[in-house]
Amino acid sequence: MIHLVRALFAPALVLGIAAYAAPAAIAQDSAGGGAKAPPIELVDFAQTKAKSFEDYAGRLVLIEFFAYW
Amino acid sequence: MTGEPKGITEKWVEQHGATYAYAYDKGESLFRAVGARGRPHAVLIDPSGTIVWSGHPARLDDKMIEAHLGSALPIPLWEWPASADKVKKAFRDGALAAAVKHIEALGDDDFKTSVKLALETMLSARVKGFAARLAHGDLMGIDEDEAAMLKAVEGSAGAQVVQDAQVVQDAITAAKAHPDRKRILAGQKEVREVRDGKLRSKSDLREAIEKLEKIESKYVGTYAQTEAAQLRKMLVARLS
Repeated sequence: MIHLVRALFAPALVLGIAAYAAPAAIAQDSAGGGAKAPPIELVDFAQTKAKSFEDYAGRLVLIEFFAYW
Repeated sequence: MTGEPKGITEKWVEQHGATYAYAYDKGESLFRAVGARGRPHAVLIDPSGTIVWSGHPARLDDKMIEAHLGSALPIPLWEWPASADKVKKAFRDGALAAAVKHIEALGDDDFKTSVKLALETMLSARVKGFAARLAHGDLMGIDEDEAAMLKAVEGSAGAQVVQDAQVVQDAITAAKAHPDRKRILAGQKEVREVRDGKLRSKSDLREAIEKLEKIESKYVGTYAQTEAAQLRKMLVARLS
């Protein structure tokens, strides 16, 4: 089974954020990027029993970045 | 938007009947770290924590998903029984061989059978991947993963796991003794400097592409050349 986690962009949370992280060497729209995922600090999980991203360890996870406006 | 994003989100989820798990990417740090440029964007992360696909979710095909399902844990950690706490701890710590050892002590049931097989498959895949790095000449990758791999095979028991530990040790030894080690590491370091540099504007990208072309020429026949070419292609795609 694959887990789909939608990482929501909540505008009010990102105000004032200026830090820029350079992209890892990940192939876009293609297989086999092979880059280790960066530390994943998603917060306030909902509609799952997982409390943090670490709970998904060992599973196949699809994270979709999604905005609702 | 308002200053209450969580409330708005919950209302939206309820109104649209969305049932999928969701969370917040505080500060968009993950969005930026994976090099996403617009929404929607998706990344597929395999059971070892490696991003194996990145792009528009509509373009992700089933084959890509199926290819990585085989090595995934059949049961998520939050559903593991309390009797498997030692296994869980070892697994969370990255001590895969130790996790296999602990699960062998549990009573026989479907959980033990399926999770043990998954752990062994995962360990084997990681060892093969580590050995493949040596075959490709990815010396920096071996150096970076050395501690984690030693931990993964620590406390090996059983013939296969002992063999895995030997493969890991041999790869580490061979990487350190590689005759072209200094040059390859220097090239890989240069690629990382470009990757981690300023890549915001089109002129940043053009400058980075030029640097990568030089690296490719300078380190012909090494993994640094391969990495530089991969990153260059990605940056060229971003330019277009």
